[in-house]
Amino acid sequence: MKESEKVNATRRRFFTEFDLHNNDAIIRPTPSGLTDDELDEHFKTVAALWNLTAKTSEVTLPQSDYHKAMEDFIESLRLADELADESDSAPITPPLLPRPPFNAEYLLHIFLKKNERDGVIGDLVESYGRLVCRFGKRYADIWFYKQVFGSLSPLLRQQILRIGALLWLGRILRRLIS
Amino acid sequence: MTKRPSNYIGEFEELVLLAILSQGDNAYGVTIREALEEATNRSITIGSLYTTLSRLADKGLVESWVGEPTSERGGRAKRHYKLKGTAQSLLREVQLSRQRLLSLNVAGGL
Repeated sequence: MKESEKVNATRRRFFTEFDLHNNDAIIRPTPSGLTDDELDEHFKTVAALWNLTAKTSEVTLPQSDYHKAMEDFIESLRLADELADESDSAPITPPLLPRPPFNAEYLLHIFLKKNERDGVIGDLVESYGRLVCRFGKRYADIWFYKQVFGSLSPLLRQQILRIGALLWLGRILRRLIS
Repeated sequence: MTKRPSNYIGEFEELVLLAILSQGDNAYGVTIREALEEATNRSITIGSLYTTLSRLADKGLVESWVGEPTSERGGRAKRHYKLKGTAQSLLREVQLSRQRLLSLNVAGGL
């Protein structure tokens, strides 16, 4: 983006008005619907008012002061924009979470029902993260394996019972029909 | 179809219900397991806890809902649990039965 375009973009966002009572420049959000020429005209008027006040008031306000203040202001906004652009374009890196052993997690994934996966694996991952912080990765890995292998038998039993109950119901229904 | 609550619960089911009750609005797998481990002083696997929770839900004693996913859980959502009114009255009944049985223990065997 060219320098003039940047200044224009800044003027589109921030609008300077001259406060006749306090002899001061006020910065407001720029009203929408103004053309570039109108904006240019407005800023020239503000500068002229500033100069007029400087001439009529007792306060010494050299002409260059207003321009310099405005230039500084616009420069600071431009720098702020650049910084904002940089932070926008920088890739957002998520915080590195300690990953539990993948094979153990996968094993659990197979044995769990779809609606239970998030809850169970999420709980294990949360506790695993805390253990890594407290006791280190090795201890947390062992704990994770223990949890997974200890969980397989009740989960498997539950599945077998469900299948068994379905088979039993099927058998009864078949008897009733025949 | 609404499930009829069962009037029988096992020892571990009772402990899980009490743990859920103790955690209030923050009852989910991790907090329930931690509360149980702290109270019973024994290691509890997440699988046994979830099978029990699933059984309690089948019995119509607990209700669950899925919360917001969080980064510390690798983007996975929490499943929160809450006791139903029937579970609370069942727990009260169980406690009363225990007290009655203990009061019968004339010899003071405990």
